Amino acid sequence: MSFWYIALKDVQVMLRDKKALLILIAMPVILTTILGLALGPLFNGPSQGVPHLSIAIVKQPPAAAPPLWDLLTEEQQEQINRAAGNLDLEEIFLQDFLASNELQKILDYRIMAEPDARAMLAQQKIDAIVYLPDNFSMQYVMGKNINLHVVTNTDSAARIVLQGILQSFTDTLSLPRIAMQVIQEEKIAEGIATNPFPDSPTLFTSLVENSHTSVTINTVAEEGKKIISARQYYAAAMAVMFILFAAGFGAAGILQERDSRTFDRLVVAGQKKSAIVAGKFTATMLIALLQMSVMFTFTHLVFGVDWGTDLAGLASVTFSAVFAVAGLGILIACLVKTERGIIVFQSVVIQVMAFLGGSFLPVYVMPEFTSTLAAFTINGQALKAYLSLMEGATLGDITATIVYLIGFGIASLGIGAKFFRVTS
Amino acid sequence: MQTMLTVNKLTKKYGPQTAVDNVSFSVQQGEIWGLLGPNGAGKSTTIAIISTLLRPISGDVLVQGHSVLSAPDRVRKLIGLVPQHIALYPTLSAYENLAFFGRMYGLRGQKLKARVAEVLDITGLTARAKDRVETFSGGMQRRLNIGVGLMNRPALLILDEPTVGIDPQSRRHILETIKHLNASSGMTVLYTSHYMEEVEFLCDRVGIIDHGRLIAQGTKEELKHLVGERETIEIRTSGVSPAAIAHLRQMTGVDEVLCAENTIKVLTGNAGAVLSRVVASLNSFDCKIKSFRIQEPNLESVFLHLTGKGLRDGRMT
Repeated sequence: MSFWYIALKDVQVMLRDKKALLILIAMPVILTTILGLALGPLFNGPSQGVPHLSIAIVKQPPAAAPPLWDLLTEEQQEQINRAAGNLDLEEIFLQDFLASNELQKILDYRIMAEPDARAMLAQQKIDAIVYLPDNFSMQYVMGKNINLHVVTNTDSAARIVLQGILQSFTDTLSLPRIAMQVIQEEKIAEGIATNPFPDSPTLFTSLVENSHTSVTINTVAEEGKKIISARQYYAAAMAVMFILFAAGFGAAGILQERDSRTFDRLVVAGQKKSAIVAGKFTATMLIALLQMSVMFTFTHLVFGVDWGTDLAGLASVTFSAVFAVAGLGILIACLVKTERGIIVFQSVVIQVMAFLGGSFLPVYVMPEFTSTLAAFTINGQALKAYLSLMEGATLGDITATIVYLIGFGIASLGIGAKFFRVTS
Repeated sequence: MQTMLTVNKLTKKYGPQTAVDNVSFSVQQGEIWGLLGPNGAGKSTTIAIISTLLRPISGDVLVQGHSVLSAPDRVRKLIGLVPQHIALYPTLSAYENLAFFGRMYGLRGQKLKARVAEVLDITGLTARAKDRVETFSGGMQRRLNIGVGLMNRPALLILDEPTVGIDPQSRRHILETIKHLNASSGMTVLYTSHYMEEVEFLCDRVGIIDHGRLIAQGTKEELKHLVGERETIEIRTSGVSPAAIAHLRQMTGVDEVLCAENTIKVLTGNAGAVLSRVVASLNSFDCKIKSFRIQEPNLESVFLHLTGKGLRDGRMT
């Protein structure tokens, strides 16, 4: 139980240390606020002027015949083919719509193969990829639900503008078809017209039901995840970066107590090395938990940051991250002999870890080797897990990260405890 | 009288350096025992071994019969340590510091509160109990430093130079407090210092340590007897030449002459008889005398006699 009193005492000491409070609690809040405000207008619509968009058009490869196609008679198939042939929606979309004078001012497009488009999107040379559905015209004529699949990694107003443009096109397509179907239904009901597919009443019903579903745009992040806003990103990035300072603070406290001989007093009072290590470890965990709690609360209440809906996942990654940080604190206290060493850790090592881990810039915009290195940093791993949760992942999806962080914490604690010196 | 502490042939080395060299002494229950020696003599290392913080390379320490080697936990229950450093948490209040260390000793609830109040009273800090230690004067911090060592009502209180760097008034308060604790509760005290006056004021028996070796021990009177009836003439000059010192050493009636930083100490069996000749000799070597005084035999002169140097003056010639 003594370790608990040691931990509480350390938290009390931290709360009275203005410098520690500034670094551990105020700085992440201040930085997140600055970044949030700086990037805020990008998330409030195109009030800063309409951005110019570059998009890639990827034509989806021909698929099998449309569903229910085989149920049609040859004559019906021929009618539909003829109708679809007369209506080249792809050309309308590309030439008449995207290449119109108005849209050319704000948008350019190029038709590309998917791998090339993906590569350019990853390099941020384009803002989005729009996938044109196979048999675009055919599906429209058959009244099928059409999805314009859009992949983007931009968090900016560009995404909102693009969505608006595509929506206007699909809305235009939907209106005449809905009108035509309403008229058709009424004619059938009044006996003025006959079922166009008398041999297949089920098919007709299906087409009518489908026709009530308007053409939609499916804007998604890469790999079908939710798009993360810059505020979300930096809230997590700052939080995982600044909990590293808790490790530095914990290590500094250990050196300080060793030098001031308060550890000697604890030993004379009957405390074992294990109790002292456990106390210090717990203290760092509590401080890092306090930091994370402040960040969760602040960013959620002030910026409305959504940290994800899987509370178990959120709790697990938070616990494992602060566990790893606490282990790091004990390890540093063994590796570093002087206060100067702690300063080097805080001003150099943490900054490098923060950079590699994506706390300053998203990892995907950095060179590939930094992404590889990011996987070894605890802040990089924690950030990855938080972002996954924000994208809609659940606890099961981030198990590997949690295992890594807990493993790191155990290894650091084990090594640190082994070489932990109580006396100076 | 029972033996509280037995130090038996204690030796500790740091690399090739011998910090404590075959030291043996014993302290009786209820006694204030002083360990006197200059900085770096081995006092703190000896204290660290007795306090179970260091292991000797040979020898043993028994506290009420319990060995620091085989039963350190038993020893820890019996001792209270006041380290030379201010081993406190500066941003916590006096009360919070005492309460924290009290908890480390296993005190809880009302017992803890009562003991904290008691120790605050002993150290004279009740009025400042809620103030942060960082706002305290050096003397008050030293008093609280001692207070922490009292939290477990130790049978043996070990104080390692507890008055370093404080004003005379605070020093007097601390010495009076220790004396009072010893007299009122019979607490045994092991006190180290390089201040001869403190040891002389407090201690019943004294050990003198230098270069890790205990070179003498006994009652104050026994130690003073080592220098016989000799007095010390201490002369402060503006400058002194080796030739003048050599001349003094040849003088009849002068037993020893030591010099450091323009201070000359002359040990003699009859200060009155040699004083005028010493002054005349120094004048003849153009040594301007600023002041002089004649000291009765004391622990300083004992140390001088035994080691050829002062307790605080470093090596003398």
